[in-house]
Amino acid sequence: MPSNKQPLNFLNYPLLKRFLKSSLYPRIFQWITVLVFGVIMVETLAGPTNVGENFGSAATWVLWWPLIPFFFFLLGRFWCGICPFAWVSDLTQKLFGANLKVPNFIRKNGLWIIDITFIFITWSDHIWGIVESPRGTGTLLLLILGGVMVSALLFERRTWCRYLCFLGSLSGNYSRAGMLELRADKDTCKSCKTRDCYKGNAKTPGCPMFEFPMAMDNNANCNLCGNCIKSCPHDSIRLTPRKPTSEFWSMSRAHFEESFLAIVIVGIVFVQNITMLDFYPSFLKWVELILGIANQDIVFTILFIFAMTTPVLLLFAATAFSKRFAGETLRNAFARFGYAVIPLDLASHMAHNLFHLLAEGKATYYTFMGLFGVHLEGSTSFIADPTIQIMQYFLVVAGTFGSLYTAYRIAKKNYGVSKALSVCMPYLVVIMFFGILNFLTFTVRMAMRM
Amino acid sequence: MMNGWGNMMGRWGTRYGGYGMIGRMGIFMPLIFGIGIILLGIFLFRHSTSRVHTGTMGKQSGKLSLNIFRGVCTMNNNLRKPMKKILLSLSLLLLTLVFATNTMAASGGLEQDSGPYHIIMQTNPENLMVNQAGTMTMIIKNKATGQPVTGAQVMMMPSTMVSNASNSASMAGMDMSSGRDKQGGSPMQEQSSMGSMAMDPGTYMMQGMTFNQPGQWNQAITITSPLGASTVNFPIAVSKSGPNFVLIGSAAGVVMLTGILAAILKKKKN
Repeated sequence: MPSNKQPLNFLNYPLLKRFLKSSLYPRIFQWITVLVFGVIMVETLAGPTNVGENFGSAATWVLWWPLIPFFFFLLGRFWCGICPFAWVSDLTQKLFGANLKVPNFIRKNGLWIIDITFIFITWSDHIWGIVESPRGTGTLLLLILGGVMVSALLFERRTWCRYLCFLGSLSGNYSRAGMLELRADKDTCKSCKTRDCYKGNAKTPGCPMFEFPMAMDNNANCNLCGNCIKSCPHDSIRLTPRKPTSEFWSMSRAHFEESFLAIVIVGIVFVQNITMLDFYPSFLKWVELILGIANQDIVFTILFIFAMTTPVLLLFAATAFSKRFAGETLRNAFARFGYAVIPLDLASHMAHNLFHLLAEGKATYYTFMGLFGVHLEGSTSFIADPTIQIMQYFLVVAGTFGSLYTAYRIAKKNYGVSKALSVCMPYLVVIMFFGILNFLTFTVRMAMRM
Repeated sequence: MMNGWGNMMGRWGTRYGGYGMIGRMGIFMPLIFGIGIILLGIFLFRHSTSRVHTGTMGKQSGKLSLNIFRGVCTMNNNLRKPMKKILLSLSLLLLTLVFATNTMAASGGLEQDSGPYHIIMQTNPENLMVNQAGTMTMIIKNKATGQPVTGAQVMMMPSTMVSNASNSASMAGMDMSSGRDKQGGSPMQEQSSMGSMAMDPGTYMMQGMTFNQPGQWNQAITITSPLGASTVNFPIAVSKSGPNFVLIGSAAGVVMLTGILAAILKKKKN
């Protein structure tokens, strides 16, 4: 029997609703991020070249990057709504934009471009040391800024954020596992004639992410900018909490590209973890000797390709096994179950960066004071390493269980209770393998960024 | 010849900011090139498949040929998706190789023969910047036998400036963290390991070297061992640590050009 109990709607709180409907939201947050971003850009492009003295590097890689997966988990793509690049995009478009339609090519292949860019940026970080070099970080930010401005000059709405931003795609994937969702009441929307949420009205622009809230069934492209809350004449929008990962087993459409990115992130996080472990240089040297290649960058590239392709191949293998029971095409089953690894991706990403946040976090304060000529020295950690390690274990275990449960629920929803376990078993084995591998990487102490 | 100890400290080797102008510029040139290949590939593939469809339809008539056409179309549609994936994978591989080659070209150490020695020298970061601590590493081998030379006395002499990028008259020179001997040189320490990583035999290292001016420097190193004494000179390029105006200007230029294009398109639209 369907329950009549209405889910909790945060927009029922008058104070919050008034704030979200006011012009202060999300502007007030954007002003702060734009200000900080301006300082970061100047610092990384023209500040100290030593990473340990550069506020831009510290704020980006020790504070922002570790915090962002927690944001995605708790608040969906809220970060994208207050992102300084989005502000730059809106302003550029308002002043000079040609507002052309997004080319079909970008709409259809945007996710693939993002996938490739994401892999490339991870690879280049290891080759050229983007994170460890303030100038490298500055270059990356500058290129993103350039891309944002070019797309805002030519195309309508936030084309960059929706179709081209590599972080947007990552946040889209992660926020799908998150605890907050914005949806419209379909019954109310059916009778709507104005469609202000999509088209906009005299006071508020339409959805910058090209979404129509009534048709929205996932978090991937909602950045909680609040435009639809402001423009909806029928108060149809709801902001509700939900069970983490529940979106994966309730969704109706699975996209191969999104699943592909999810599984590639398993490799990326693994590479990030393993290259920061103490034994990595010796391991790289050993591989050099085994392969007979006397160049570390080439050896790393080979290992990188291996690390990226192995999870994809393992998931394909699991799909091939599962196909016997599922009776679906390889592509469709891969697309459907690829999402199951996202909780583990998110947890591993959080666990990895938790170390940087808690063991190096004070570097942000030290370098910030350095901007005013105050030289501070001391330990950069907030808490002891063993405590961080326990938190990392907890996150990875929780992520693994989240992924296992998600795979089971996807199977249950699509193939029924009787077949669920046999269909999802190969995926459970693969996820367990990824989980154990990730767990093991956290048993060894990581190197610091700063 | 490439050597196996490029970027000796691995990932951490670059924590002092190993990110020279070539590297910085090199980041987006291959990126643009790679993305261009992908876009072109997909465009050509789409273009060619749509032509196949039209061509077949134009030439065939009747029920049988329509069925054949349907078969061709189905096959093309079936082929199209895997082909696209293959094309993308190949592009990705190509992209990676381009980057790898680019990096390989940039990461080679300097090698020289001097007296009885064959010396390979590398700095870390590869592109040193003003007032940025760097590490110089040398592997010394017996030129005749190729065997590593261990237990040698290796002295790094005060470096001299060949050309000054800022045309400044001041030549304050290079600083080293370790003490100098009577001749003004500093001994390079033989290293068998670094952290948990084993080093090649015959590896000598000087850490914490900084240059206080941009430009081309000459670094003289004297090697003394039972094989004999010899001096070798290596050039070291030190770049400014300020902002990279070429990069900033390029980005601003692209945005400006797009802005002009957008203005034209906007005018046309109106």
